[in-house]
Amino acid sequence: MAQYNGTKLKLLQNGTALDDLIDITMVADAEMIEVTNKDSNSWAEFLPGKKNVTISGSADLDSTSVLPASDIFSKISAGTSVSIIFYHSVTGQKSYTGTGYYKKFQQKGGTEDRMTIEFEIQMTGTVTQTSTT
Amino acid sequence: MDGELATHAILSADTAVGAIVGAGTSASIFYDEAKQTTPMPLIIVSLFGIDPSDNKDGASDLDFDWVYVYCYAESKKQCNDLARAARNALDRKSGTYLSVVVQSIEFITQNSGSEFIGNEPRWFIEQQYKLTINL
Repeated sequence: MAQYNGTKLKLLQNGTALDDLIDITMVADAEMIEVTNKDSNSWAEFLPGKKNVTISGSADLDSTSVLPASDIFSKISAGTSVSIIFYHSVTGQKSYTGTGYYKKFQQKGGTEDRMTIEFEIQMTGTVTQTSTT
Repeated sequence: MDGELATHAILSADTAVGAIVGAGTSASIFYDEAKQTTPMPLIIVSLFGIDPSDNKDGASDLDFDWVYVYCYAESKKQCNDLARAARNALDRKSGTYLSVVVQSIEFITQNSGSEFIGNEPRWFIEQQYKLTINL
């Protein structure tokens, strides 16, 4: 089994890489509908319900970067959707494509500490898994 | 990186520190060690760690250098005076020193002690600084 450095997980917003990323996380969550009844023999039973994907991450704060933090704030302010590709950059690994909205944007800068942003994207509609080419 | 170079340069150019250990190239300020026969007071500057800020675009553009400044003197009073002067010279200092671009220097903490050097008691104060450095 091959092992990979986490640096290879990347993010494109409207076809442009989000600069200076420190880390990113994608979570696919399927809600479960409980259908337990008296015939379940005390074992809870479920059916899959709604599915949704969120992507979160952090990056260095630099307003001169190609895709600066101010752009994320503008997207939140205007409620503008963005096309998102969350991908493993090695050919043959997986990419996840869909449309989303920024739902959180946070800037942090402690005294004598690194200045960073944190963000969260709520994907809407279908998220498609393909192989990275 | 190179936080110890910037620290040494700032201390060597500081008037208050120079009044105690000498100024400029004749200052008794050394990297990492000094001969046991070196007259006191003196300062030793040493780098003991770097926290880089890598991201997915590449290597760190911003390092946090951890630097020790050891102040040695023949009396407790002089040792404290030297440590105070060093802190005043370094804390929250910014600028470019020996081509090292320092965004800021933060005084973290210090501790004190004594030891016998050449059968004579000597006092020391060990100070810790965090330097934010652009690469």
